Amino acid sequence: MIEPIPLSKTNSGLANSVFNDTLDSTNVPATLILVIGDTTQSNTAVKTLTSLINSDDHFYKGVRVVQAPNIDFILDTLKGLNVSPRLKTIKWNSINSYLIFSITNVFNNIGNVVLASKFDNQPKRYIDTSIMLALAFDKNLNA
Amino acid sequence: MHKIMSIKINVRVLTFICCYCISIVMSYGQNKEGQDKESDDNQKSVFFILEKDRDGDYQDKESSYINNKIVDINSVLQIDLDLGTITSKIEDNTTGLPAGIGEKINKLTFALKDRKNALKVFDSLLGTYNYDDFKKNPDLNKEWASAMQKSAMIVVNLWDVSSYIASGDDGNADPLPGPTYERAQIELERMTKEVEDFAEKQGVYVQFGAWLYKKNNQNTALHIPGFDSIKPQTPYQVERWRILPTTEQLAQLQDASALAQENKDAGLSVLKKAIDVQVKQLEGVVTGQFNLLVDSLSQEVKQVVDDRIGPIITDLDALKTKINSFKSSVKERISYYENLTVNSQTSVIQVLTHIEGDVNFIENDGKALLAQATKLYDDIKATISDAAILEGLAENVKNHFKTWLDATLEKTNISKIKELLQGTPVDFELLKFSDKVFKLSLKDLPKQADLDLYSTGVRQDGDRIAFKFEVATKEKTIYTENREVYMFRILPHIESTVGVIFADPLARTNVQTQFQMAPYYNLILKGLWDQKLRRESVTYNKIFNWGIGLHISAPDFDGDDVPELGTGLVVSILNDYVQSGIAINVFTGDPYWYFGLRLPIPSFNIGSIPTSSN
Repeated sequence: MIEPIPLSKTNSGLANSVFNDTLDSTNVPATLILVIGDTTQSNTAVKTLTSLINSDDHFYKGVRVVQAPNIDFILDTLKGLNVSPRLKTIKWNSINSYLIFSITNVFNNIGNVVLASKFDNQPKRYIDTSIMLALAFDKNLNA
Repeated sequence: MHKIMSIKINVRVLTFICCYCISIVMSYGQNKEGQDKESDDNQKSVFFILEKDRDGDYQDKESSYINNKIVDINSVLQIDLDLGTITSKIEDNTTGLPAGIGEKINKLTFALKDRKNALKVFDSLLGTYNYDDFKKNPDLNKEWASAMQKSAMIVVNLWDVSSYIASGDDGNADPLPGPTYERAQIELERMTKEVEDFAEKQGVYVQFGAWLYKKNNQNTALHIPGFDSIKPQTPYQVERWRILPTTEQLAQLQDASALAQENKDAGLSVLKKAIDVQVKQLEGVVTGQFNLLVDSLSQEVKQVVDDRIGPIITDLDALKTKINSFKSSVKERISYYENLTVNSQTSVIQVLTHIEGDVNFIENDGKALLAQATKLYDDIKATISDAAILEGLAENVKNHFKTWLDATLEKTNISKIKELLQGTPVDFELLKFSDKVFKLSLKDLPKQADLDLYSTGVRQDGDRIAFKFEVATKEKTIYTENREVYMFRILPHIESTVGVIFADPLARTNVQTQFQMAPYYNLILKGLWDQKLRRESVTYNKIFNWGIGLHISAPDFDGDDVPELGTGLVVSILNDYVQSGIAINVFTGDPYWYFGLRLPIPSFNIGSIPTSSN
């Protein structure tokens, strides 16, 4: 059973330390799906993702889910990542309006973001799209 | 010792020719690449031509057999029409089609052609993912991610073609590769139908034709299945392995024998005689009438009383200076030939190099001079009135020089050299569709057709297939694309040549001169190691075209007027213009080395005789 990677809800230092370790592909060589918040919706999303990752479908074999109950702790790190050119500008001031960020395996680019308000309509489609976009933009975006 | 020196010199000469030739081929190759790139940038072709061998194999579908300028003369050409690009051409020249639909059709067609492979690669990459291995070996992980990035991007790019492909009609479609490709297929069919319906309403039709375009510029309309009702030509296979001489070659062999018999003891002096033809022609411009004409013109100008004569005098002085400089150069060139002794193989090569230089000089400087003389005549005619004598003299100078220049260039046959280097352009204006070529709507347009080169009838190396593709309405032609494809024997084959060689015995014989002329028959194997180059460069096929093979000749070393039999090896380069090798007289046992020369200058067709079978 592959468990989700939880970030600390109360300790900023610990949350950052775990998140930075996770971003390092030598520690976690996988596409990351970052789930924001500790709401029912967030927990359901983590549960759905965990279930997919542990399914027989090999599309999810290279995916790991990270839950950030308090997104403010890692916001600066998140802001420092490159963003896929396909995405509209991320509203960092309204970070809690998002539910999912997909982050690429090697280059740590943000491949896709999903608004919390939209996710419940088509959860699997948003997850699959986010993974595909993270796979497609795992390259040096500064080049 | 003398013989060893001869061989050494010969090797040096051949090396020089090879290097010279390679440099020409390379420079033409580079030009070709540059031109190709430019043409890629400017225009996207509406059809692809894939060369297939006779077994129908695709050889190497990825690259080296698609859209080559040269194909094997016995191959089958698979022609694929590109609906996307055709649509773009219609889109550019009409109104009513959605913007960018041609490009979208192109993208989808291209992606769907590779659908099976793309899905396989994506799935295979997912299958090779291994978390533990990648953690232990980060390089493996990077490699995997890089490959997956490219594979996933192909799918994401498809989403960008249309919202239907990205998310389906209800916005809830599966984004994974398999379903994405399914929607791309549906979208391509929908777009194609939209374009076909539009074209039908606008009365757009397509015609596609091909012609066999021979070296003498004769052309024959060809049948392309699905595009016309032209009767195919009688099937003809260009022979690859002919060993026995043709009837024509046997006749040429007789001529060569007679030529050799006549000049048996003349050695290389026969070349000197041929050079005299060039010299006499060159002398025409530096002596006699031309000088008188220029002097008369000069005198007459001084007699004219007219304010506007000033610039004319200046121009005439400039022309005279140019003429004097030209004449000095010609005199210098003539003096080279007057003092010439042709007694060794090195001097032969030097002479040939000089002749080539002379031809270039006459063409470039001579034409510039003629342009200047013509301008002077035009200026006199336009500005000075009532000066009929002056005008007449200027016209005489111009005409006299033109006559000399034309005759000189004709004698040196510069056009043949140019044709050899560059080929003659196909005059596509003359190629018109007959009423047997169908006017096809886009709906009826075959997307693919095979043109079997057997069905193009009798053809030779260097002949071309000219293609013409036209999109039109009743009112106007929307788009025309012309393309030519050269045909050569690319696959391994044997070419036979007949002619005379200059044989240099390597032992004491009764031959009085260093070289003895003798008839020969060579069987030269070509295309064994250089098929790639032969597909890339027309110049390589026309000029370099090398081979090795067997040599049979009939020297007369014992001087009894009964030719003996010599056999040996031959190396042929420059499209058989230079042949050289080593052989043995099987009757006397004397070894000899030999060379044969054939340049595209009439007075120097000494050596191999070009035959229609080559």
